[in-house]
Amino acid sequence: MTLELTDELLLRRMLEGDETAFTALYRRRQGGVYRFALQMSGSVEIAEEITQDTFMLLMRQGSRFDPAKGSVSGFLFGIARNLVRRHLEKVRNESWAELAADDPVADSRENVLDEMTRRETINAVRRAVLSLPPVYREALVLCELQGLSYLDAAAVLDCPVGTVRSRLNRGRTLLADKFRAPAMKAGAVAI
Amino acid sequence: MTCAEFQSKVAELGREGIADAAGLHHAELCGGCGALLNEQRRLTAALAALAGDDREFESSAGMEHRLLLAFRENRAAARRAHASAKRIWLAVSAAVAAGVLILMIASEPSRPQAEIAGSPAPRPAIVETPAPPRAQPPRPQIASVEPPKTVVEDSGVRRPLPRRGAPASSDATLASQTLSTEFLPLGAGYIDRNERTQLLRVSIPRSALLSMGIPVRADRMDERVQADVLLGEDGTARAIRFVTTAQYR
Repeated sequence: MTLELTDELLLRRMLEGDETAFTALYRRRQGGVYRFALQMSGSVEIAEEITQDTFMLLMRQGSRFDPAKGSVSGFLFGIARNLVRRHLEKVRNESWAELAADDPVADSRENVLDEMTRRETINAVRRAVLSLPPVYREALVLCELQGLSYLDAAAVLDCPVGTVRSRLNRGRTLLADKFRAPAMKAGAVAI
Repeated sequence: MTCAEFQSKVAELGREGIADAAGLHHAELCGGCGALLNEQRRLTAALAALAGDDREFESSAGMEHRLLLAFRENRAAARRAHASAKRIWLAVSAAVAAGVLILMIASEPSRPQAEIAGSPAPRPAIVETPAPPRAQPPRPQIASVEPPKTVVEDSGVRRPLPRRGAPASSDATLASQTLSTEFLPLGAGYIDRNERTQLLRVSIPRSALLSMGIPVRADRMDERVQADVLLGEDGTARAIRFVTTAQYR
């Protein structure tokens, strides 16, 4: 039986120069950071760059981590969030289509149709999420897509839990509005 | 519950599936609010599908390697910075220590030579030392030094070279604990009165005395003898005496 080291312990060892600890922490947390950057930016390239920069900053500024303010994961999301914001000011996203094109296609006709429908829905959600104002988008991505609690999201976003809750509700309402239009169109076609 | 109250919490109802009896009851009665709730539930399902779809997305395989290289470089740079800081600290410490020493020496009142010669020297510290003094021509009784085993330190005392036949060292501390021969001059045997000398306590094998031309009994070849070596400022042995110390026995 192996004992899994906590993120905090890995970070501490990493800061002491332990390369194995750094590798372990990276492997454990890179996926979440990458997906957060991807869902926020909509660009594979930017997500890749932000993930790398996040861990580079962790190497240099990891000593700033304060367990009283949140988890290591939240600390990483906080770094990634700042980097995403900077990128959003400069770069427009354009790569969801390429992500969708890479997906494998199922064999049977039913499966193909089901898969197409599913894919369309997912891509519609992606686009809708990306079209949200960043302040609502980040709350939605953290809580809905990354599964963070209100408390953890509040630490990442550096705001009160109540603010996270209200931003999330507002983001969901905006998202539902964006969803409503295609649904109505589909209904019109059926009629 | 009014429609406004329901709509203020519909997102949470749809997201978390909270069993809010009043809210659900209102949604059943109000068609518009019921549709909103269903919309939020569909949204929750769609977001879950998106999260599930993205779950396998990760950064590229090459990134770990790049970051590891950066990590090693950072660590090396940190070590270099640490070593550099340490060197600076040592240099500053040495400068301060030298300054203090100079001040102490400058403020020390000069004493008459006789008093200096008569003052007790500190007890010798025992250390390894490799410095071989000059070889000596054969002498009838006792000898000079060789790569020794033990040693002394800076006596800090300016003293003239003891002459052959003069009484043994006037060092009170040593005299009280040791029996010694006279100092035997080595080499030119000259020491300037103002020269700063060091007294070295050494332990050498008797066999080493042979290399200095001193006769040694074959059956005692493995034994060691102890000696005090007087070193000049240039590090060469100027004189030697052989000692017997209770401490060494």
